[in-house]
Amino acid sequence: MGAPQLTPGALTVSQQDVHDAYSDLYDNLNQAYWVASTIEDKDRLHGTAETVFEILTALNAADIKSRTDDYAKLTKAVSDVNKKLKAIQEEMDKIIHNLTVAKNMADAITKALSTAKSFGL
Amino acid sequence: MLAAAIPGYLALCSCVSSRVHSAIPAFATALTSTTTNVQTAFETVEQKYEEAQALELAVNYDTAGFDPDKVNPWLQPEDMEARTKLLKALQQYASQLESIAGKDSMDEADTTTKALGASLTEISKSEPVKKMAGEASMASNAATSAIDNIARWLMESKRSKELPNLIQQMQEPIETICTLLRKDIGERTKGSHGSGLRDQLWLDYSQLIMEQDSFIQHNKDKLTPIEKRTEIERLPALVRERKESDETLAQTSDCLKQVVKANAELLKAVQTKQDLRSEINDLFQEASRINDFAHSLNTPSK
Repeated sequence: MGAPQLTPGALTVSQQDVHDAYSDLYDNLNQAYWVASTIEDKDRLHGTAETVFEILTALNAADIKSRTDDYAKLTKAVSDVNKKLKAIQEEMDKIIHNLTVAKNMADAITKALSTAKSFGL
Repeated sequence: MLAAAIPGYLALCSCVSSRVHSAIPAFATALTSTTTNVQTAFETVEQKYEEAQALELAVNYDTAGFDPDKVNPWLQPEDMEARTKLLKALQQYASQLESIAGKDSMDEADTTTKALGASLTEISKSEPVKKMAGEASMASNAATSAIDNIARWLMESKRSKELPNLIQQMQEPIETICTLLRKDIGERTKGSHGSGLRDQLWLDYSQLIMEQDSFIQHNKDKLTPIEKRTEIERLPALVRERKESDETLAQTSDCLKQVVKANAELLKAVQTKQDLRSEINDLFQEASRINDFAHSLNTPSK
């Protein structure tokens, strides 16, 4: 018993085809709702439209989900570049930090000289 | 000797510097606005889905009651989280680019060097140093200038060497990200046909409109004339909002296409003498306009 033979043309219904079929149905129900003349007819059409709406909503959510794993991989690629950018920023900050250290040293020298002067040195 | 050579190096860097100063912050702001718009698009669709669910509950409550298990978000939290993380990473990319290429670091270096210069001048005024060096004041000014030049040159050479590589490294991920996000936003063809957020948002509104009408049909005899008018007025308002929201999503999708182009153009800006501010500013203005409108939609319709 091998795998069942597929008839050419079978299993070619894509998720988009299913979505399109339900969209057509939803369209028809929607249009019928607005021309229905009694509240009973409107309620029936409205109830069926709600069900089709939920099916279409689930199909759209599944379509979005199909790309979720790709986003995780891409987030890593962007984060890697962000790490390198952060390293550059840190090196630039280090240059400014060194200038600040030099300034603090100069201030300390001024203070020491001033203190020495007050002791008559 | 080194201080004398530095102005020459700075002249070489200055072309890159001015282009980087002008193009990168504009690009960063446009990228931040576009990613915010994408995030808002997802939030708006989720919000309208919730509104449709709430109105459906109100319409069907007398016959179907309330089932807490039926209250679910449209997207699973992990699907939204993956996108939110990526959009935040892109915003961080924009913010770090802006921080490195912006004038703030250079201004901070200038300010710190000036403070250092003032401290050196103070030292030069003290008696022991005056005795040691007759022209200490002049020497401290020259030293301040040299230190400032060296600091600026080090920072400028660092970013002009590294940034083009990183912007180039981001080109492919940005292309793929924007393609995926544009697929998420999807498109609309005719009737209810479409895909992604645009299809879902159109459906949410179509369902909201039908639920609103059903609510009016079932309660028209119990509403006061003023209440009835208010409820009826919501119908055309929802129809208009559906169209405007769909157009906003379409424009957000177009902005994503422009982001890919802008990142490529930005790379040119840091590698060549081309000035691209106007193209990036176009993207910035469009993204800001969409941002304002998208936020106005993100409040409940009623």
